[in-house]
Amino acid sequence: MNDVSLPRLLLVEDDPDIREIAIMALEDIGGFTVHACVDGIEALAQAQSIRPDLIILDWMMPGMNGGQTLARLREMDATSDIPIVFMTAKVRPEETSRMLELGAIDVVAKPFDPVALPAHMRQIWEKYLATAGSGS
Amino acid sequence: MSAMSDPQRKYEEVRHRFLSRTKSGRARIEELADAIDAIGCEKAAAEIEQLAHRLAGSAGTFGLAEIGRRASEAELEANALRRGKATHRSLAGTARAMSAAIEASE
Repeated sequence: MNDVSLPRLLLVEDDPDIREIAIMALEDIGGFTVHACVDGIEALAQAQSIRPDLIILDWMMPGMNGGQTLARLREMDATSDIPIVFMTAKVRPEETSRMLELGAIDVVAKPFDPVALPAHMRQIWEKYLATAGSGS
Repeated sequence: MSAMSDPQRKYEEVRHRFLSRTKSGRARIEELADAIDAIGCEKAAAEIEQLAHRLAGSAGTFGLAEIGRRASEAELEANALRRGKATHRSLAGTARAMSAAIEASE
């Protein structure tokens, strides 16, 4: 039996409907604890105060985009080690490669299936723990 | 007594709101398509690309596959136009097709 505890999530998504569906799927279906914010600036503040276990980060946002937000999170001691997953409609191979090179641990494609999203996030988390645990 | 579960009910509420908001944006899409077609407006093309990208990434989450498909086509066409591989007329056409898909969706 898998008894890996669920990570506390910080969801960064500027589209209000996508944000609400993702929260609903992750909390109500998946049982995750989700904190949400609407842009990169808010993400920097919330990540520092909440110290989530995992950040789900939209790529295209007004103002600071996902890549810029990731870079800023990496500069701050309090948030530099928090694993980040991009959730984005930009899923051409060269785009996802770039996101992984920037330091994301995975990329979730939009549009997402709200029923499948929690299991997908759980899978990503378990893979991250296994990798982090092995030191590789 | 409703047989709909809580997440299902929430999903339907958000879907309804998403579709209403998307339908109310049709007039803007048509306006932009006209500007692109008539005067080759680059700013309008950029706005269509942004709108299309957003819809391509969200419509499918709400089961609106045809909107998502037409939005992806419009986004690709806008990208192709920027690279000199499409025409303003073809982009206007894909934008109008996206608008038609929105109108037809329930």
